[in-house]
Amino acid sequence: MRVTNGMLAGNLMDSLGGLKERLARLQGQISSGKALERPSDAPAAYVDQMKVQAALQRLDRYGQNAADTRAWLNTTESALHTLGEILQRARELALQGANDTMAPADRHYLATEVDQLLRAAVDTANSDHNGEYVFGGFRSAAPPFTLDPATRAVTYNGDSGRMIREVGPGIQVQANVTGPDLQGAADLFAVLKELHDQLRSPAPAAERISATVLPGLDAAQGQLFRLFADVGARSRNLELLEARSRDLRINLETQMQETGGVDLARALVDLNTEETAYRAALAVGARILPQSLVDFLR
Amino acid sequence: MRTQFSGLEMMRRALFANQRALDLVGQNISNANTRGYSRQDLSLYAAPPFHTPLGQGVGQIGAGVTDAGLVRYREEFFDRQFRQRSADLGFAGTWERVLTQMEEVLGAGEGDMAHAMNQLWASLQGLAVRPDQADARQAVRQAAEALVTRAQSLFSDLQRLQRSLDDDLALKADRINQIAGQIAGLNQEILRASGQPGEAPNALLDKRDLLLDELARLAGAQWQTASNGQVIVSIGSTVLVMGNDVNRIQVAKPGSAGLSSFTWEKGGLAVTFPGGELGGAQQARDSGVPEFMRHLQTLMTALVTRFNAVQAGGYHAPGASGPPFFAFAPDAADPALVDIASVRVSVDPSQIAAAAGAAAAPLDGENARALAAIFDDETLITDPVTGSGPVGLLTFNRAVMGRLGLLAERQRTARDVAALQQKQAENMRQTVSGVSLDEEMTKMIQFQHAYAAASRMVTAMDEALDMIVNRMGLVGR
Repeated sequence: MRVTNGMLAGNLMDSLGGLKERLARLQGQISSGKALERPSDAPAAYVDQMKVQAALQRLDRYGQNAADTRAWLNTTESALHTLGEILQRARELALQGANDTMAPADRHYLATEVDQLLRAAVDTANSDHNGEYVFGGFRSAAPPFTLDPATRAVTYNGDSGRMIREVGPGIQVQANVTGPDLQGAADLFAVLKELHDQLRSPAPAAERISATVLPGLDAAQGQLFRLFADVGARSRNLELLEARSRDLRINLETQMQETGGVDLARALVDLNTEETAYRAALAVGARILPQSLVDFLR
Repeated sequence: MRTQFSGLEMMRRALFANQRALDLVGQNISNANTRGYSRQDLSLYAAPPFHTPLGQGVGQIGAGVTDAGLVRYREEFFDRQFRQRSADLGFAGTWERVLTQMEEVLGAGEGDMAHAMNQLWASLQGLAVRPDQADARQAVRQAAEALVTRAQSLFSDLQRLQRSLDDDLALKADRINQIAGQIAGLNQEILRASGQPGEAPNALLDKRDLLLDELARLAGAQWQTASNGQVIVSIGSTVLVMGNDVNRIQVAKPGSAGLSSFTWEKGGLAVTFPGGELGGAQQARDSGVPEFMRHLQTLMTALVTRFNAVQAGGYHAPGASGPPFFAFAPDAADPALVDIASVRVSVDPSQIAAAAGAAAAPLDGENARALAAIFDDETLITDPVTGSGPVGLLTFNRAVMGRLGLLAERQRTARDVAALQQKQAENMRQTVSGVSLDEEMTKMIQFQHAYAAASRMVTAMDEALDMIVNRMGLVGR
């Protein structure tokens, strides 16, 4: 095949051009640390990268939601614990009051203490977290429970809104316990009020206390216990979730690095190879191009 | 009968022929690096012999050398190959450039749509947790505005890309008209030159071939050589140049907005470039870039309509349901899609309907959660980019980026292959038409020696004649 000087020069320039393009690409990758700069570098991997990036972006928000929820649940848990202690004390008083041998005057003293317990219970039920009432459902502006001092009736001013928080992809946790949940079938306020009234009432208070108040207290305590366990479980789940989130974050970041980051060792080796090829091409070109018959003719 | 002087005549021819050959070697060497130059040779052949009359010997003696004119080394087949591949390279190269620019515009990172959408999602989640806080509401509005701004900025970048393609098209269409005019002119000159014997319009042919190269690269033009040496050039099925006639491309620019349209001067039909740079630019301008503009519009349309719907289903104050979140106008060209430039966040932060219950209790953030859930609704967009079945907003966005990446990768490969093939075709052309300095040097030596030898022959014949003219018949003097 007939080869001209122009062809030799053209071929050299093309080879050098290709090598320089590869060198430039490697240089860009090494200096930026990213293997995937554009979607066209590797379309499928790029889309995966986008998913991982989105997941990482959401982790922050999920973490905040989880922390917020845990704080609510903590406040709720300690309030429930306090209510449990109140009911326990009420039980002791009820047992004393159920004793026939007690004089009415003594029962009156018990009644006073039960009155205090009731007020304490209402105060506890009006616990707040940073100024927002935890047992009021969505109505957080005003205290959810009000105690009528005369009748000792407790009214609920909140609603039954359930605060659902998203704490992970597709994972929802209810952050609150509403007033209706708290009062439930066995209303602890009603039981305390009943106890108080019975203690103040004339005989046969003892039988009545045994017959109605004690079972009522049992039911209320049982209900409270179940609520407490439920809230505790939610709290525990959140702790596990937060630990998993930390692991997930590390996994996602590793994944980002693996698909999108450049393997520095490999890139440097490639750079070396390309550089050697470039130098070889230059050397060959420099050796062959300048020669022609003209050099040899006198 | 053969005269004494016929020998001298024969040597004169030899001297002239070799002189001319040397001139041609000089011409080739001078143009060794000229673009589009086809090397030339002298077509030498032995002149027709004299017939020797009876009685003077047997056989025929030649009458020296003569030349039949210049030979231009050019292979039309290789030209066709080169031009075909130039057109392919122009087409793929233009597309690749456009797609790479679009990648840069739409690319991921801090600036892209997915990031903005996730920010809005996060702010809505924040609102769901604290619907009673003004800060949370303000954050939602700001995230929404950032999303709209991003979408508008991307859209106008794509529009700008489209307009720059348009400008490129108009500029190159003018160039085509210019080239066509030059080819027509060259056709005339070549015809005139070919008519005269001994005239070889090689320089004109080279010039015309260069123009045809450029035309192929620009628009994938086809050509035919007529019997009289003229070329007929056509783009697609329309004739551009025939003989001395030019069919110009008319460019109509419709004002500051809108895109140019191209029509043929003769016939008024619209111009479709079958290939080349203009073919690529036309396709990119009319279907490539608009495809991605439409995807962006589809995304935003689904987002704003659903947002307004969920907003309307919630409450921001007792009994007061949400006013529209976004204000927008439909696209004039396609009313099913929104006009992205017209979209804005119209809702006041205090009127964002965070609550699902009509009482709009302070901590009721359920509707805000429903707004956030819009981003995870995989049934939102019914017209996906690839495959079938509805997709959600974020999935759609990813599919768009994936498609863009795939297209760009494909065109990059096509361009690289076309470049390689064009190079090979050019090498084949060079094999035939290129000047090899070594070859010319060798020829130079050949002709130089032949010239020197011919000169010696002239001297020898001169001496012989001198003997006859000056020394014969001088007996005793």
